[in-house]
Amino acid sequence: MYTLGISAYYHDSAVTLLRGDEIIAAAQEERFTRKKNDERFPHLALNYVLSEAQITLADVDAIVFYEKPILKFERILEAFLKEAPFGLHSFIYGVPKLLQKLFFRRLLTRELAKHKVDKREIKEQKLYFSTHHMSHAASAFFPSPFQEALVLTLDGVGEWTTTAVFKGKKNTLIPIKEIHFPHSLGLLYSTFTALLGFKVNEGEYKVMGLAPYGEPRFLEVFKKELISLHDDGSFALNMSYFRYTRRDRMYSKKLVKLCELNKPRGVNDPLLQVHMDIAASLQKLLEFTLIQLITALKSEFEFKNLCLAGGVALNCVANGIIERECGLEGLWIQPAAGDAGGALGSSLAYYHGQMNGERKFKFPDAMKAAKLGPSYTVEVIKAAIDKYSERSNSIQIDNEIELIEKCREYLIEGKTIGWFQGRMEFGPRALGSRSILGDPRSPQMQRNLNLKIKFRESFRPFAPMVLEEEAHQWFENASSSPYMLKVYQLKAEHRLALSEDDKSKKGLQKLGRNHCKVAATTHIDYSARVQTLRKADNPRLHTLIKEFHKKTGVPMIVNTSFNLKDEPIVCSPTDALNCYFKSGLDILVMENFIVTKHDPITN
Amino acid sequence: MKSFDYHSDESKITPTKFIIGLTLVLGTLIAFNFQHQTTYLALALALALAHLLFWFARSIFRLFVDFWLGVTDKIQAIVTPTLLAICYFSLIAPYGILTKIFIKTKKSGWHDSQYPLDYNEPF
Repeated sequence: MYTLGISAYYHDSAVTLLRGDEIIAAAQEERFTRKKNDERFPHLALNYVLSEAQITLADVDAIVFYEKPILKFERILEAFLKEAPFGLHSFIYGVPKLLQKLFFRRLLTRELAKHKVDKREIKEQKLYFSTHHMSHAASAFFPSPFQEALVLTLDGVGEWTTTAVFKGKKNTLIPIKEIHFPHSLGLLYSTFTALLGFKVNEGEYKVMGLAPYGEPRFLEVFKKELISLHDDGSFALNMSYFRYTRRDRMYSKKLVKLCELNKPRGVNDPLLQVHMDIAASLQKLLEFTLIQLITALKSEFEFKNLCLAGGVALNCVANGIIERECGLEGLWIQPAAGDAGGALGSSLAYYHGQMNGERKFKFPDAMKAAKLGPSYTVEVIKAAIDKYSERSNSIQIDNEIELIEKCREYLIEGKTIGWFQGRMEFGPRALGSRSILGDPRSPQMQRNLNLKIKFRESFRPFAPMVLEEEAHQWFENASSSPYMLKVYQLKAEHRLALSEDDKSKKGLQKLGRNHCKVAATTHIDYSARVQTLRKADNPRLHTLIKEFHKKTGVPMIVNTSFNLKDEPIVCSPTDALNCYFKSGLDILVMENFIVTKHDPITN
Repeated sequence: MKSFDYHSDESKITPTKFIIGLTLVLGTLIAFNFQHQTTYLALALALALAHLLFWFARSIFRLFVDFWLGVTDKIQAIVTPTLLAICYFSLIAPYGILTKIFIKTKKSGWHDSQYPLDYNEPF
């Protein structure tokens, strides 16, 4: 049985294809259209997943959309009623798009019919709808290694739900209880994202990255004013500080005042200490609320394993703390925890929940290391390289050892490598298939990578990709983290004593301090967003890090996504070459080809 | 500018033609001193009025369609929000205010989840 899952029309549209309960392929539309967070119907991603399985859309048995559009319409309409008479502006600009939701079955059928299938058959026999949080929960539980687990989903808002609890057992997933809009931890975080001048639904991880530069001096005020926490783990926001129900802006003037700001930070305004303090306080507030929520659920349901999904589950700092402090035996987080993962979850929810499909357990999980996207043949890569032959040199090295040694030397020389290998990852993280690699020992690497290659804010840290078997030697309480979803503290023996000058630095001045042995991948508070690498998941990269370890004594390298600022991660060899020539990247390695620029400075 | 061709379907009876026709009918009736003169006169007037109303309604509708399809996107960008604003102030705002007065706000905290799910429907 083939089941297709689709998420679309909000942000980050995606498609997933299952054969039985096996995930055959999954991809986000943005990777193909090159439009970041593309929300349009995922035609190109759909073509890809069908081609991966070598089937047509007519062969698919069920098509499942990741949420219930009419319930969503109802919630938005009710929000307009609640805010009346103050929501005129957003009503005028939101309603034409909103009305689409009433004709959703027709809209989806029309789009799917473009793939040469019978419209009537699709509409009447094949089209199904999951709920937003069921999709998230299914994406977290069914691919996990657990027979039984409690599943917690947290995001901005689905239809009505913002936070939901499910019980998962074998192939069943039962929703238990939920918290409704407007009380939402995701929207709380997004409100501050907007207040700090970043783009909502995109800039949340920038706020998380900014937090360690600040002091959480607003934490107590936030706890007292913004949120009521109840003993049963539930919470309610004080809506006088928020405006997102009116859908014109996220925060109220009262919140701006509470944060001791004269005005919200503009996109191009400088980042001040107060902004960092706000980010730090918000991050602490989120962690505190999550700990309280999970602790209350634990005493109510007495579970050992927890699965997380929803946008909030991408907050890897909070995830690391949950793992440390909640006394769990197992924690599994869906790597595509955002709405793109809803495509996967909707298909799994239908297959198991409606069709009672068997669940085959896979170790360490059923996600295939998130390598669910397209790969390219040597011929396609060579053809793409040939188009750039006037600007570059390329060599093909078929000897594995020689290729690894060459790459290792590039890294030791401080060069940055664009790494393009195998199937593209599904989800927001580059995990070694479409990555930029570098030497983590250099204190300047973070700044250089940010400013010369990725052209983004200098404060944002990079992740270490560390050999799984060595992770515990470098990071406190490190367990398996193959999807870069947990933050651990660097062990004391790898930290360096700070000079008096470095100690006196504040805010962004702390950037570039030589504070530890792996400065490029360790935040100023010694935290690191760790990705542990298993040999089975990526043998070539594992060998490269092992060789790097032998030479340098450091079992990790810098891993960041292969893209430029505001662009999606590269998908095809042509995307990789475009990105390579537009940036200050030194080397490009695509499968067995090594590409170098004729004139790196001009390029 | 887009155009809308409605000429092929245009009525052949214009108000001028109609008034001439009506005058002829009434004149004939009066001339023959018809027995139920008043009844027929009232009927004829009612028909004339209905026709005129129909004609006006149709003309206004056609004018609207013609205008709507003929106007530039800029004008449409003004008209659509205006219509939506009318809709907002005549429906949403009063209903919203009444709801606020008479219906209590939904409680915060945990709500029971719906189970089982109906995958067949978008609601």
